[in-house]
Amino acid sequence: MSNTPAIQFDDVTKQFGDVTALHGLDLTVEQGEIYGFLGPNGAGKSTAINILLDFLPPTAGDVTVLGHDAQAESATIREHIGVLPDAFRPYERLTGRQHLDFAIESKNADDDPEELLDRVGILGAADRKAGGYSKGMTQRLVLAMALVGNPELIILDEPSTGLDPNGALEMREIILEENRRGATIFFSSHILEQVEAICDRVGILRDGRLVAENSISDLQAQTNSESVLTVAVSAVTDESVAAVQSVDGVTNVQTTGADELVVKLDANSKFSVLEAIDATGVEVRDFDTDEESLEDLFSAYTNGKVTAE
Amino acid sequence: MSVVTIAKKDVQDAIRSWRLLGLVAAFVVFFVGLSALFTKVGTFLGGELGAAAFTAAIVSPIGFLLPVIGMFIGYRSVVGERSSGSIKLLLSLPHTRSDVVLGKFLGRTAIVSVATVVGALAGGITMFALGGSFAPMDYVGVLLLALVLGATFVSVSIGLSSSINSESIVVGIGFSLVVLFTLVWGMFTFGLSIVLARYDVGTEALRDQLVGFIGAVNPKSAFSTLTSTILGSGGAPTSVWSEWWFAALVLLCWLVLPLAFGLWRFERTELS
Repeated sequence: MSNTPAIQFDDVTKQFGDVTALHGLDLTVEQGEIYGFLGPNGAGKSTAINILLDFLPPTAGDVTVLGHDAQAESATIREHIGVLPDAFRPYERLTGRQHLDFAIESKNADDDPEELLDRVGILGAADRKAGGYSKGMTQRLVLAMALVGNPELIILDEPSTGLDPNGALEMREIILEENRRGATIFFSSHILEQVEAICDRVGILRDGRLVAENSISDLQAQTNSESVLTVAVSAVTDESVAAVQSVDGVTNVQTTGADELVVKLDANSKFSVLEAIDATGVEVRDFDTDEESLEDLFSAYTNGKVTAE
Repeated sequence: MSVVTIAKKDVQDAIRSWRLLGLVAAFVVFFVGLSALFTKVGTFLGGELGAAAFTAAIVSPIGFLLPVIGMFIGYRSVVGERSSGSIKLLLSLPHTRSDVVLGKFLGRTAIVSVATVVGALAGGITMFALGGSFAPMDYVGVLLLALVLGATFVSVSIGLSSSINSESIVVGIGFSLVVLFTLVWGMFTFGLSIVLARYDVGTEALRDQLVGFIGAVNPKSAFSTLTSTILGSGGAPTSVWSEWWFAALVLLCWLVLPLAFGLWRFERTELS
């Protein structure tokens, strides 16, 4: 079983009328890895995930998940995976707890709903109707549903949608915990920062084709070196500045005003910096980076400035 | 198991939205009101209307009420989850698409049935308390048929809801069917018989058979035929189409076929 790929796309094509969303996609995710599925909006990421989940049939090609055929054995597959889908809505009139109860019963699992709600940080809202949740809370709720039954594979489609920077950090922590437990993680994003710190490998999808697949550091080594991170915080303290300076990869820290830090660093260290600030008790309100964007990476790949190995 | 889980969630949702309670209240008002009115009228007329009269009198309103409510309770069930996107949560869990359609049918039928039974009980108790006479076995028989009629229209509404990805088209077709079956079917068959006679289609016997058949394939007519059989009213069948077994067959078809069509369509639908 451990040699079976968690996810395998074999020459998968998907057409919607005249529009081809996926062109012969080949992609393999090994068990136990964290795989970042990157691409700009409209690249075909959601189409690929919808095929994985049997929401859509492929026009051609085969998809297997944990060794099962995605079309013929979809219900079996979904017993073993957890999913945070994209563009969903919760049941507005059911409470958070009822959502968890429903997921637990559906998966014949024996999880404790309160423990899961606590883990994603919305235990306090357990008995409120999900219709009154913010987008971020809804995202947390469905993440909790995805964790039910200790799934072997967790599929997250744009997981940080609607989350504030702290929420994104907590999401990242949970993903890492699940991965340490042994779960394979497959998640899509159009934001490079979210995947670079935690992914073992990334695949970049553009116009329905995988244009690059590599470890994130290799990608960056090919394209970029140093970047500048601007962090808006509740207050700049000596302690937080010192904490940031001690992070590996940070070359320079400056403060602008009483609530902003400007950090020169190696692109891989960004999340470590945010965590270091958070650990000193200072709240991270926002952050921004002037690093080469994913769009630049794409154009680099497609203009032939760099070549995938 | 999946089917029951989904049905349970649907019932929970109906409780949370007060939909179940509203429906129960509507049925209680309907049955209690009718039975009270009926007893009073009976007393006013200076005598009793007879044991079977009350049951006979509720058949026609039931034949209208349950189709309307069956349609109302089911039309959004699947298409609503598709337009809101909650279908993705449902199908990310280990449910098959048939589980979804059948679970919805089970849940919504349970909702309509509970409301009908509670209302009918309240009506029966009122009748009893006011000293009116009625035949309990007939009443129970009609009630059971009412539950089947309700389930039939839940099947029609869920069949539509699973087949068509537009709420407004589902509503349009659904409520047109209800109006057609409950209000204008008689007019339709009458008009048809006139047109057929005018253009001299076939023999008169053939025309009668055709019109009789079309009149009988309406689920509401089938319900009426079956209640008449139970109550021993309505006289002997005039053709094979007004036999009780044909009516039972018609009702069974309307119960099974729309749902089967919905299952077949939803299984092949692309969700995104």
